[in-house]
Amino acid sequence: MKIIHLTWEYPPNKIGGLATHVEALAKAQAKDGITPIVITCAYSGEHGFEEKDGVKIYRFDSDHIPAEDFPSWALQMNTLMANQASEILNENEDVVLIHAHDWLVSTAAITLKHIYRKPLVVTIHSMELGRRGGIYEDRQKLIHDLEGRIVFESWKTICCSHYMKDAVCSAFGVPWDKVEVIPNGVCEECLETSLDLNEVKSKYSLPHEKIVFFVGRHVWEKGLDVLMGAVPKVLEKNPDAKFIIAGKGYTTDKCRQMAHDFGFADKVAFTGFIEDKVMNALYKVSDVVAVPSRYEPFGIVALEAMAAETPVVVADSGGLSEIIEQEKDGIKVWPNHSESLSWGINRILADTNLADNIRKNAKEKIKNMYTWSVVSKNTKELYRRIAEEYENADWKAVKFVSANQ
Amino acid sequence: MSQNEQQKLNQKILEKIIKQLNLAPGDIEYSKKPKNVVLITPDYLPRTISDISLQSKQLAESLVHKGINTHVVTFDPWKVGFSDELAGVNVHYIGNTIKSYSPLTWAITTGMEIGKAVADIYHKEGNIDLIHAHEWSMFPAGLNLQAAMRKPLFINYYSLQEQRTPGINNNFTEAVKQIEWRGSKLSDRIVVNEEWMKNELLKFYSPPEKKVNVVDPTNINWTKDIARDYSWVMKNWEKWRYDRQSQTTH
Repeated sequence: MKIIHLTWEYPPNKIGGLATHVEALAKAQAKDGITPIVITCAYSGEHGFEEKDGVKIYRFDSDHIPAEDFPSWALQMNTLMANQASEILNENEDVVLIHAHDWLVSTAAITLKHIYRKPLVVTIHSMELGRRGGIYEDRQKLIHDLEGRIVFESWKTICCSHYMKDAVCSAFGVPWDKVEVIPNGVCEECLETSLDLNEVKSKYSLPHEKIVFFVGRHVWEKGLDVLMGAVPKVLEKNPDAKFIIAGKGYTTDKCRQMAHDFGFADKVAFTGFIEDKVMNALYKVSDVVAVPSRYEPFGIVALEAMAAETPVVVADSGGLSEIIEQEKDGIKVWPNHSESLSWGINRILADTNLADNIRKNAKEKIKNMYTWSVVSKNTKELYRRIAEEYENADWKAVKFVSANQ
Repeated sequence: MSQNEQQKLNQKILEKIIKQLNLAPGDIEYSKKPKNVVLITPDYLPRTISDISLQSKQLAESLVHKGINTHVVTFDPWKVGFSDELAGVNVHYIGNTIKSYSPLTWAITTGMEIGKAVADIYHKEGNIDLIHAHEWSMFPAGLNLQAAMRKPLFINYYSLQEQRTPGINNNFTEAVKQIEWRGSKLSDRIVVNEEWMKNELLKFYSPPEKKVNVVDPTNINWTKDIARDYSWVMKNWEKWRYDRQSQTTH
C-alpha cells in the first residue's frame, strides 16, 4: 500500500512536534508493509529526494517565498507543494490515499484530492481555537476556516485523543463517525542518551535536591505560570525540591520575574532550549515531571516521561486526562490550579512506594498502548477501511493523458 | 496515378491554398484543434470588475463558434456551485468561504476552489485539452492544474504588479511578483494585449520572447488569433515539454 504524507516539516527541519510525529509514523509504516512517500518543505537549498529507513522523502525549495505573514507564506508554500506532489502522483498511480497533517497543507491536499480523486485523510494535531483560546482576528479566522475545510473534505479525520475529537466535532459540526481517535506513540529508543546522568544532574541541581522537571513551549496553554504558582507550596513541604524549566516562549520573562519576586529564584533553573540528549537525561534524573497544560490535544511530554520511568503530575485537561489513570500511572490535578498542582507534586515526593508503582505501571502502559508500531497498526487498519469504501464508491478519477494523445 | 502521387498532389494543392489565403498552420491543422478548453477567470459577464470580464466572454463565445467545447470557471459569490450555459459556453461559478484578508490569500484559497471545479469538469468530460488562466490571481490554480493534468497552460497578463504599485517593494508586492514570474516561467504561452505590455513583461520577468503573443482585443479577429495559437500550442506542446524536461535534467 503506497500512501503520501503531506507535512510542512520533517526532520532535520523541526519547528513543532509535527516533524517528529510524521517521521516516527512513516518509519513505523515502512516496517509495517506500507510504502510511505513524504512531501515536505526544504530549507537552505536542501531540496531533492532522499530515501531513509524505508521512507521516500521529497523536499521542495520553500526558502524563498516572500509573504505578508505566516498564513500567506503557508498558502504559497501549498501551491509549490501541490506542484511537487503532482509530479509524484503522476509517476505513482498506485498511491492509495493522501494523508495530510494539519491546516498548513490544506489547500494543496484538497486540490490534489479533487484532481486525482484519491481519498484524503487528515490528522488534526491541534486547533487554532485551542491554541489561542478563541478566534480573535483575521489570520486566526483563515486558519480556523482552513482547519474546518480540510476536515470537511477528508474521508476520515484522525485525532490523537477523544478530547480533540470532541473539539473538532463541536467546532466544525463534523459527524461523530467521521473522526477516528488514534493516540500518538513514543519512541523508546529515541529517549536513550549518551550523557552521564550524574553529570547532568550535578549541572542543574545539588546532589540532595529532588528535581521537578518541566519541558515545553512557554506559552499560555502550557501553564508554566501555574507551575510557578505551585513552587512555594512545594518548597514548604519539600525544601529540597529543585525546578528545572526547559524551553522558551513569550511567558518566560514573566515566569522568571515571578520566581524572583516571590523569592525562590535559586530554586528554579531556566535552561532555555536544550538538546534532545540533555532532555532525555533530565527525564531520567528527575523525580517528577510536571505537565500543567491548560490546553493539550495529546500530551507527548507525559508519554516521554512515562517511558523514561519518571512519575508525572499532569493537569486533568485535554488528552492528558485520557492517558493517565489517577494514582496508577500518574497523578492528575485540577487544571489552571497551582495549589492542586503543588498537592500532586508533594504527593509523589512524599511517597516513594507510590512513585515506584507509578513508574512500573506507566512503563507497562507505554509498551502496550503507546508505541509507534501500535499507531501504525491502527492507522493501517483505517487506511484499509478507507480503501475498501473507496473501491465501492462511484467517485473515481479519469486517467490523465498528455495533450496530444 | 498511384496513391503516393495522389497524396503528394493533394499536399501541393493544400500548400498553395494556404499560401494564397495567407493562413497560419494552426488553421488547417484541424486535428490539433483543442476539443475541450477551460478558461479560468476572476470575473465573467454579467459580473464585471475589470476588462477581463468582457474579454474572457468574447473569447469563450468565439471558441464555441469554432466548435470548441468551452468551459469557464469564474468567481461569483452569489452563484456558488451553479453551472449555466450562456451562449453555448458552460459557465461554472465558484465561491470562497475561507476568510481571506488580502488579495494574496484570496488568490490561493480561491485557487483551491478552481482546482476542484476544473477537476470535476475533467472527470466529467473525460479530458481537458488546454487551460487558459486570466490574470495573476488565477496563475497559482493554473500552474497546479498544468502540473497535475499535464496540459498546456495559457496565461493572460492584463497588467503587472510593478505597474500597479510602481516602486513599492513590500512583502505583498514581492509575493505577487513572484507569482507573476512563476507564471511567465512555467506557462506554455503568454498572451498580452499590446506590444508595450510585451516589452514590459520581457523587461521584468524575461520569458522567452517567442513565448509571448500580442493579441489586440480591439482587432476584429482577435479571438481567431488566440484560437489559432491554441492549435499551434497543441501541436508543439509535447515537444516543448520534452525540451524543457531535457533542459532541467541537464
